[in-house]
Amino acid sequence: MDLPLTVLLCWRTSEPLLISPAFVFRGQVRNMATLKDITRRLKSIKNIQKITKSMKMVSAAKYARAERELKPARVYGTGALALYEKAEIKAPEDKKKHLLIGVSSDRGLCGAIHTSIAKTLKNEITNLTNAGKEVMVVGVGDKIRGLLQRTHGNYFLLTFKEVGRRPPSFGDASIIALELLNSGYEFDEGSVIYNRFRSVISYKTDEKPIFSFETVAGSESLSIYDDIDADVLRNYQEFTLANILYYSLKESTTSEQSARMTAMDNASKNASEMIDKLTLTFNRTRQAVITKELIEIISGAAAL
Amino acid sequence: MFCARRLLLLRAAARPALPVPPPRARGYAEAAAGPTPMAFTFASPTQVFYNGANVKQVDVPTLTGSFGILASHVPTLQVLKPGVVTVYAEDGTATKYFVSSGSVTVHADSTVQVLAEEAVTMDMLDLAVSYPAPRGPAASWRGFAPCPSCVGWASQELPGAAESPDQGLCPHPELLHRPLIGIKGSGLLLSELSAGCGERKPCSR
Repeated sequence: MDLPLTVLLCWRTSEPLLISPAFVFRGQVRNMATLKDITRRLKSIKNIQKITKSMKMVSAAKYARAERELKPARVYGTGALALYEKAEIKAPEDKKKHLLIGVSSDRGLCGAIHTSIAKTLKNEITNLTNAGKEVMVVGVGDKIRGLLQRTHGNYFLLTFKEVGRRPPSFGDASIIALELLNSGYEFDEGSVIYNRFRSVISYKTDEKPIFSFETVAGSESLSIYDDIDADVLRNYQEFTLANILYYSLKESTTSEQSARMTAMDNASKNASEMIDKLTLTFNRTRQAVITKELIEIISGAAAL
Repeated sequence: MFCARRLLLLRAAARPALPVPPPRARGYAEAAAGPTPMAFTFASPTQVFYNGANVKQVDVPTLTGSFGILASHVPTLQVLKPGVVTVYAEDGTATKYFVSSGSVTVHADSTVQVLAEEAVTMDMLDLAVSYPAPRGPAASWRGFAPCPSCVGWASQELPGAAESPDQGLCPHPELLHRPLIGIKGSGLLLSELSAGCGERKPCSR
C-alpha cells in the first residue's frame, strides 16, 4: 500500500504548520469528491448500463424480425419500382409541384437515423426552392417533425405519428398513401427519402422517385404498354404508391433497429468504462479516507 | 366464375393508332424475336412465391377480364380483381393462388410482376368461415349476422336459392351479411370483396 506512505511523506516534508484535515484538502487543486458522491454516481451509471444492455437485447430481437420480414418486402418493392425504372418515366422539367416524403420513426436513441433523413430533406428543400419549384414535405414519424418544425415548419403537409412501435404492415402504408392522395396536394413528382438497410453496422440514406397519375399518363414511354385506360392506370398508380411506401417503411425499420442495437451497445461499453474508472477512484478515495483517519489518530496520540 | 378468357390474338382490333411505334414493341404481324424466357415475379407484402422464375404461363384475373400471359406478351399494366391466379410451370404443373387485389405489369423484355395485396395458396382458405358473396342489395354493415345456410364454398346450389331469385343465393335475406373469405392460421377474413360477374352459382374451384 504505497498510498498512505506517500501521504505521510508529504506531510513530513511539508511546512510545520498546524495541519488540520480541512487545510490539507483545501490545498488540493480540485475538490475531491466525497465517498458518498462517488457511490451515488457509480450506482446511477450501473443502472444506466443495465438499461442500455436491455435496450440492446430488445433491439436485437426486433432487428432479427425486421430483417426476416425485409426479404420478401425487398422483392415486393423492387417489383413495384420496376415500372419506373424500365419505362424510364421522367417528369417534364417545367412541372412545379414537388413532394418529399421522409420516412423515419418516433423514437430516438438510434444514432444518426433521424438526423440523416432530416439533413437530406433540408438539402432537397433548398435545392428545389432554388430551382423555383414548390415543395411540400410529409413526415412519417414524429422525429422528422421535431427536427424540421422550427426551420422548415411551413413546408409540412402531413405528419404521421405512432411509427416504430410495432413493425410496419401494408395497412400502415395504405393509410399513408390514402391520406396523401386525399390531402389535395396535386404533386407532379416526388421522392421518398428513407434509410436503406445495407448490413448490421451500416445503412444508407436513399431516395426513390414517385410520380403522379398525370405525369405517368403523359409520359411517352408509357405508349408501349398496351390497353390501359385511365381508371386502371389510376388504380395502378395508387397501389404502386402504397407499395413504395411499404418498402421504404420496411427498410427504414430494419436500419433503425440495427442502428439502435449498435448505439446501445456502444453506450453499454462506455458505461462499463466509466464504471471501471469510477471504481478505481472510489477505491483511492476510500483509502485516502482511511489514511486520513489514521493520521488523525496518530497525531492525536503523538500530541499526548 | 370469370368472364370469358380472352386470347392474345383476338385483341388486335381495338388498339388506338400510334404515330410512330417505339422500336421495342413488336407489331402483331411479326414473329417474336426468339424465345425470351419469362422472368416471373409473384409476391405479396409478406411472402414471395416466385422471384424471376421461368414459367410457361400465368393466368390472372383483372378488372378488364382475365387473361393468360405467356413469354413475349405485349407489355401492359393491369389491376387484379379478387380471384385465382394460376401459374403453369415449365413442366406443365399448375399451381393456384387466391389473390385479393393487386397489380400486374408485363414489360417489353418479358418480365412479369404480379404484386398482390393478399395472396394465399388454395389450401390456406378456411372453408369453415368463408361465405359466398351475397347478391342482394348490401344494406348497412351493422346488424351483421352469420347466415346458417350460407357456409362454405360449395359447388352445389345452396338450398332455397331457386325460391328467392331476387335475393340471390341466400334464402335468409333478412340477415344482412357480406362476403367473407377466411384464411387459415392467420385469423384473417378478407371481406368486402366485390361481387364478381354477377352469376348466381357459387364458384366451383
